[in-house]
Amino acid sequence: MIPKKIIAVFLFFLIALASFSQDRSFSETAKQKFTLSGIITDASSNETLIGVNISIPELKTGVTTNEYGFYSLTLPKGTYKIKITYLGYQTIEETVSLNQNIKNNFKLIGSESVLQEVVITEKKTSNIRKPEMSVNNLSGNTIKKIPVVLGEVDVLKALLTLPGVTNAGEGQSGFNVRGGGADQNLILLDEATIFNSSHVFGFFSVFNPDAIKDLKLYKGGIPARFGGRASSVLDIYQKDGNSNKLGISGGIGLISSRLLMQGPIVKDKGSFLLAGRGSYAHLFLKLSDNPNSAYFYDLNTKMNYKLNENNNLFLSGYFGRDLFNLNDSFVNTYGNTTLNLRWNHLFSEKLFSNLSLIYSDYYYGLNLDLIGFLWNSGIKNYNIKYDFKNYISDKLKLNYGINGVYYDFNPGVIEPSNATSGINYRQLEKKFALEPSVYIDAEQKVTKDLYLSYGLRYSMFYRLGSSTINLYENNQAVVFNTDLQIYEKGIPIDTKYYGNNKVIESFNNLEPRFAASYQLNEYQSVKANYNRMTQYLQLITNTASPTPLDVWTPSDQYIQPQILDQVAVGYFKNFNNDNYSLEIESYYKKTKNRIDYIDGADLIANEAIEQIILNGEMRAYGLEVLLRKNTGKLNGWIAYTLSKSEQRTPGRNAKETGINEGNWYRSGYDKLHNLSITSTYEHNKKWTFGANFVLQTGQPVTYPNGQYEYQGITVPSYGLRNGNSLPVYHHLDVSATYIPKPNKKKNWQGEWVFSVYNLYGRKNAASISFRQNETSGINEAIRLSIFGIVPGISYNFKF
Amino acid sequence: MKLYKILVFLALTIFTTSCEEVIDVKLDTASPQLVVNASIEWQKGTLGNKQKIKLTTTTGYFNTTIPKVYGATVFITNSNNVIFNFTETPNTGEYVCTNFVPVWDEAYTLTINLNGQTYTASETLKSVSSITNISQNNKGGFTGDQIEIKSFFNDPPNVDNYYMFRFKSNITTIPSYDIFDDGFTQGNENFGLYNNEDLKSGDNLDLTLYGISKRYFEYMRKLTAVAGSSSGGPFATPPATVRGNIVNQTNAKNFALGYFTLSETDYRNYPIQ
Repeated sequence: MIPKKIIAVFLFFLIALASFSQDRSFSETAKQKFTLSGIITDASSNETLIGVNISIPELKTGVTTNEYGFYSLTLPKGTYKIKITYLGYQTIEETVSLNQNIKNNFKLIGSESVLQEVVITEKKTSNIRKPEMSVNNLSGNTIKKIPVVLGEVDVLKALLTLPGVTNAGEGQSGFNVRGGGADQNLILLDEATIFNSSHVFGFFSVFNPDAIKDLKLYKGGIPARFGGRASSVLDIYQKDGNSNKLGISGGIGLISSRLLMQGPIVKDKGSFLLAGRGSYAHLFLKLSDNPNSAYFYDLNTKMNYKLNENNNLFLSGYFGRDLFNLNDSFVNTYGNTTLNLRWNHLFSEKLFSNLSLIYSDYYYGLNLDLIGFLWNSGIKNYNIKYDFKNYISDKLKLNYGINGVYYDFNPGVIEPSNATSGINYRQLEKKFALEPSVYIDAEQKVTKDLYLSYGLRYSMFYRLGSSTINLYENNQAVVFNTDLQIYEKGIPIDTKYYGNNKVIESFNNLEPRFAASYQLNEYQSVKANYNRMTQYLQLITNTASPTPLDVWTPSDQYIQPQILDQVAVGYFKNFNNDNYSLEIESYYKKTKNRIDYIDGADLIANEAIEQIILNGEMRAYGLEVLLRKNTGKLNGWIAYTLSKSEQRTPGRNAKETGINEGNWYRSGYDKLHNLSITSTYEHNKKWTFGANFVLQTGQPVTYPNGQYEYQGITVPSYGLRNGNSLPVYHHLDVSATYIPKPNKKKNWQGEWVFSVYNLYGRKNAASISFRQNETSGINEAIRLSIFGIVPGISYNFKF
Repeated sequence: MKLYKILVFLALTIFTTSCEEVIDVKLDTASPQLVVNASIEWQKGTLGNKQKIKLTTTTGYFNTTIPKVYGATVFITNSNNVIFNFTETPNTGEYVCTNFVPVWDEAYTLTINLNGQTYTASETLKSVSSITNISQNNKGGFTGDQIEIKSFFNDPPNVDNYYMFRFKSNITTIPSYDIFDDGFTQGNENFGLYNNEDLKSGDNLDLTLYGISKRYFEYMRKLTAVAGSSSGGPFATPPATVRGNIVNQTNAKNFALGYFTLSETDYRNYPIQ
């Protein structure tokens, strides 16, 4: 049963909402005010544009378009000059007489026309005025300019060039934001949660760069409309599709080929986009003459239809799979599926709403024929979201909404894979949970220099039946063996069965969010923010970077939700005529209930995860510097981060040692120094060059501090966790883009991208392992390096 | 199709450039700790009265000799307080007993006195099923070209059992272990698995099946993971020293490594076909 409390909260919310939207007194002061609103699109494709600036220079005020290209601006009656600016597009200036509510849709003309032209459509100058900080934007075009391994354009790898973002190394999946775990990132593709962002164990990301319009990474100051993960939000928007004319584009690379088709369903009213990407099967493993294969593919779709001026429908979907087959004895399939139906509705020119119905699922399957073992697992979620943006005046905007997510966790079904297998069928117990939430936040211009944004999210979490829960003595699923000074699995004293939808455990948390900016002058500002985030889903992983096999599990009486508090302050400056911008930020964050694993924990197909987990804490702090050159033939950015990330799991009482003797230790993604330089040089219309340099502290590892012999094998012994580091990691990558006919705007248009990854052949250590040589019996240290010098070539086309 | 060939060729550079190399790493060395290698093995068809315990210490990771421990007093008692003394073969660090009496499910306690410190450990002797059959597959392993040996036995139903297989071929210097339970195979025919790409016809494989306790199962699982796998890789779990069941009664902080275990075992020698 879902408690009546939630229903009551929701009802209250809806009533409050209704009264809000009718409450005109807020905006209708003595002086009459009118609203200018509309949608801003790209003139050639009708693609809506996110984050376009609409400003009124004489009032020093303005707004930006939302995720659906919508803007609304309420001003006193009068005649105004409006300026619409968006990097990479021609500025529009128009005079508007505001003596009634006006709906005005603008179409922006690209300052150069499409196909990965040299325009960087990024909002490059730092936003001085708005309180938004700790946020990075990247557009599809910028991402495509960064040189990458084998020329495979990669959204996640592009994030790694930003300050505060790292990952576990080459070929590793996931990313770490400000010293947080990869599981602490909320990754949204058109609002649907993506649980695993990588293909081929991390060599490539699941996002097809052709289908991506825009992405935004929130490292801090996370708005109240987001919740559910502790560290960051990566908000990715797919393109809507060209509603003017049919177009096909694509590319042929070394690893994969891509094809994208987009066009109108009904001209100017509806459009579709269909993008597919597939790698070549067998590529990786064909060296040996075995019937092995490894490949991935994904499919992105989007459709939108404008019912009328006030109603728009969007349907977006994603389907991706990875498949490994080693001689049929090891077959591994995994991937994400998402589907999202959205309805944009304008209640009035000031009240924008969006209703989303979202389904997302992550599947993992493994067939180990060697031992006759077949395993299927996954997580499904059903999400309903109703969001409102209320443009009350040019000084105040409210965002509020409700959200409910139902989770269905399948930790695994184990079956015999062949007739001779000795494996018994078993369904590891499924888990269910519901996560409802409500939020409201305000963006307010207090004075002409001071902007505030403040909000509150109330999140609830219910672990639901049916489920059988283990009970332990003193409620402790992990026991401490005082003789041996180690943690051991507890032995259940009893079990308790909870029926369908019975609440097993519930949590609720208030999550305040706050951000402020104070403009020192036209070119400089200082900003600060604070956010509290609650994460109710835990990724059960014991490795520095996530593996496809990792299992998500809901919080319950043994696994507490992670609660993170973060503060950040920053200084922002545009100088030299806005040619350069500088952003300096410093943050401190602390996470409660960060789970840690007892030594030697076994995670795979473990039905009693609580027996190997202790709740610890985590802290991270750092300084980030981002210097950009925004204009000219040579542009790009330098990002440097100095940071620490540590965790600690003290004993629960005086007799216990805790993990790592209860001391703070470096988390697996602690990188003291992280420097990244990304640049593009436009030589002429035909040739553009890119270079990217990365230098960072090696990943934390634990080296042995001794060895001993037991039963004929040599065993290393260890000191404290993560006390060592891999050698310094660095590489330089270059690329060249050649457009044979840059002035051709019709029919077949093509471009070549040549790249070299790791130009000077640095042998970066992916790992250093210690082992006894099987034939000589002597102990050795072995460095594994994944990439040497890797050349790449790809061809992109459009017609 | 020429283009495709070029593409494939370039893509393969991933594999030609990725490499493993033996490198020099400077490591710290912790002060030496006592290591107890006390595995009492009662092979089916023998009396099991001859047993051996080895005492050594930890040493620097790259050292080539393992220091032995001399002059300790070592004995095992059973639940009736019968004492089985283990006397050192002088200057070997090996302590032997010739009158040990193994009994299924009997609880034993090991005591070691060394340099004024007393170490103890308790365990139960576990029985084991017999090996019923050994099969050989020459197209085994993930790559399909390894010799794969399966050694079968029957798991008794309705009891949780824990098993360890020890495999040692004439072509390797170190044994390999397969440690598993009957969690997925309760009451069924079960097998231990060994494969090695260098095995060939005419080689020899020693197989020993051990019945082990749950706690020893956990211990050996962790131990083989730490000893065999890579550490420091992104997919590696944080390695830690594996604690056994030896308790220092004099000073708990100055703990000893190793394990005191008692198993019934079944042994076969299998000539590779």
